[in-house]
Amino acid sequence: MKRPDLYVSMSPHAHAGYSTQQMMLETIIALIPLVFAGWFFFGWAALKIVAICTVTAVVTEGIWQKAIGRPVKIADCSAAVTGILLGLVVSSEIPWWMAVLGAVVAILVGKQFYGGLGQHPFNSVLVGWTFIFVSYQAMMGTYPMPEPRWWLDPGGYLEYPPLDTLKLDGIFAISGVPWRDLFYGNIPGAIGTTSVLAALIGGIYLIFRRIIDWYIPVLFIASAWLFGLIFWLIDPEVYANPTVQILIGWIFLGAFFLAPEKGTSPVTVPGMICYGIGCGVLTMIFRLWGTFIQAVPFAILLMNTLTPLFERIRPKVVGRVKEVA
Amino acid sequence: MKLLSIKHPSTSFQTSASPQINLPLPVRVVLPLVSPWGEASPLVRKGDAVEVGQCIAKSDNLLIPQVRASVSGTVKEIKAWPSHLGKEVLSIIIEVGASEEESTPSSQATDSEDPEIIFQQVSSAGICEVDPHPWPLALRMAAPGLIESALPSPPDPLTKPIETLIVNCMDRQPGVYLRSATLTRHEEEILAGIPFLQKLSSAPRSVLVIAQGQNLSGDFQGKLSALGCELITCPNKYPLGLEPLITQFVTKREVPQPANDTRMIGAAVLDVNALVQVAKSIQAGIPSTELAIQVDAPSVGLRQFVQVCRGLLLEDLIKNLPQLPANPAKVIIGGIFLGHAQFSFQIPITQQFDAVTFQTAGEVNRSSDEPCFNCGYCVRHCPMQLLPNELGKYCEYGKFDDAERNFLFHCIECGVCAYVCPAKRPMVQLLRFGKQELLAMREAS
Repeated sequence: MKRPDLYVSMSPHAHAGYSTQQMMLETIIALIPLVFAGWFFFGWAALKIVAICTVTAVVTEGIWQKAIGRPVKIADCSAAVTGILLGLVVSSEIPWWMAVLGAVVAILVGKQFYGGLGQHPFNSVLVGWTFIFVSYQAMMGTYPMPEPRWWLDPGGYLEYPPLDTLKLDGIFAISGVPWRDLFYGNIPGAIGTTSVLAALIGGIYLIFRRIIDWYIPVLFIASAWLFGLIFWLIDPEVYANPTVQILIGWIFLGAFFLAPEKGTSPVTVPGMICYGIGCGVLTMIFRLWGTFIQAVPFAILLMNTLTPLFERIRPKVVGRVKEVA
Repeated sequence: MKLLSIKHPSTSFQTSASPQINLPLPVRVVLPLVSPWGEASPLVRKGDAVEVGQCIAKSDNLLIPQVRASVSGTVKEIKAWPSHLGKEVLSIIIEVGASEEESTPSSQATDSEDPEIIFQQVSSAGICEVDPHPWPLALRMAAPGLIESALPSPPDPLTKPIETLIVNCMDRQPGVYLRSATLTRHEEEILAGIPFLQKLSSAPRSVLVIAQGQNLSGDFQGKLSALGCELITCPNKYPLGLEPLITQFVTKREVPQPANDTRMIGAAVLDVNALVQVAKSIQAGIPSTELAIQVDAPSVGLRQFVQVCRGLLLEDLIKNLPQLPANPAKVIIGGIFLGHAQFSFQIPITQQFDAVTFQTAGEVNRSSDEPCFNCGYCVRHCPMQLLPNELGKYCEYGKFDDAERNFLFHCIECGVCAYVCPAKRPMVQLLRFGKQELLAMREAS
């Protein structure tokens, strides 16, 4: 007897309908406030850099996958996310070729050499950023003054990003900066790292849409603040106010977008808790006593290496009961 | 335990399905002799005449439930026949005879209070449940005293007293509403059945678990509490309705895995459908042979409860439901989360499943061979708190020992990991593959 033409497959026979592409698109939506903040404070030059990074990242990924004979998966938008994020963590004054270089390194060295999405041990954005940062320190270190499109007065209090000022000139140099400016991002700095408000909007969207869990961002920020608080209480003449510390750039972007990157951060809840705390504490250690001004990227890269260790701390498996028999 | 986020669709309860229909008697029925615990040996031979409810196969082993004829007719053949699990198993094929007068039950209608008689009735009723259980119904529900008299050397878990009797009215999986429908349709049988089981199990605490949002009449609730049966409401989320999780929800104790045996922690769980069958069997004095299933065809908007006789072939079901899509692309027996896709229409419908779903080509879920990228969704949703992402990779790359060390056998195959996976990895398939390989390796060594 002829068998009917029927599909046969394993259960479950339904899917939530949620794809990688959708997840990445949601991340891009969450990045819109940051891109907007970049444009608002640093003008069209900022948008240009973000666009260059994004296009380069997508094209690089496409060419690479074609070249090694793998299916081209740029449609899952993960390269676009990497590109946009890379554009957001550099200064809007870097030359175009540096943005291209950063994006190519981020995609190839940071991601594709390890096997693509989710297989890389280090945050791909930060790999690209570190490469150009270490290679062209002087150029990466020049930041334009914010020029808000409308309504907000230019900061005008600072010549350099508050992080640099804090490091080089001590805490009194930045004590005059209103917290409002720090919160809105009306300060010199990399395109997307200055605005706490924008990062907060995007990050809350991500958590609300359940793209990321709240453990990493919240514990990152909270532990950085607490660590700062301890030293501020010990000596407020030397160490800055912890609230200032977390507002002066990088931490919110890092906590919501860089640290929880899929594949480089732990997936178990205890792992995420340790990872978040580790990121926050390391950031503050680097900031308070390190030589580099940028602490967050290196803290995250270092914690990425510990992810496999943190994943060993796992929740207790249900049903692992001593059998009483 | 972490709460899960797959809600049952809001149209959950009885209202969504049209009333139950009865199918006419088919030409033949096929009754597989195999239960999850072993194979019964046939008591009839080719050409014998059988009556409804007659015991046609049994085993000396008490673990193996008896098989009862669901129709009157003649035994046409006893041979291997495909079952819903894809294997061919020994089955009795009965040709339905001319519809006789309702044959009066030969056995005595007992309204006995004696647990011994209840035990006999339940174990001879040939009831087999949808959920996989380590023990058949009668043994699982019986107090240790009864078991000791029936089995010379009972297995350890069965010697423990039952502290909690749980009647599970939570729908088993999203999209299948058989249990909530039973709860509203068969209130009387449920009320009649609970005392039998209370006596059988001699459990000090009995609990009826319903899903949030299910409405029960005050009258029913009053009668329940008069029976000393608690009513517990459980969030209407998948996979909380599965046995180990519902037991954990009620008793706050984890069911030992991989044994998956609730008796080890002194709980006995019973599907409300089985409870109704028990009540009917004992009240009528003749084993109940009816079987209700849910038939779904989302493409034509069909959702119907159908009363069939056990052993009805899938093709006869299709013949009798003209609304079904003409050329289904996939036929799933047992619901979309836990069911098995079928390759043939010759599969008999047994008590081991509760639903038949017909999908068209557009609705078929296709998995992909993309690698896992550690998004952690499966870890977030796994009811057993496993790391399905890791287990999937271990099984995919043949590291079965590593998978076993990471508690592969604790997986209850609820399918939530595959359901939420953004990369659409076939998680359940990978994990089952790993389990099969490990079991084969164990057997070989």
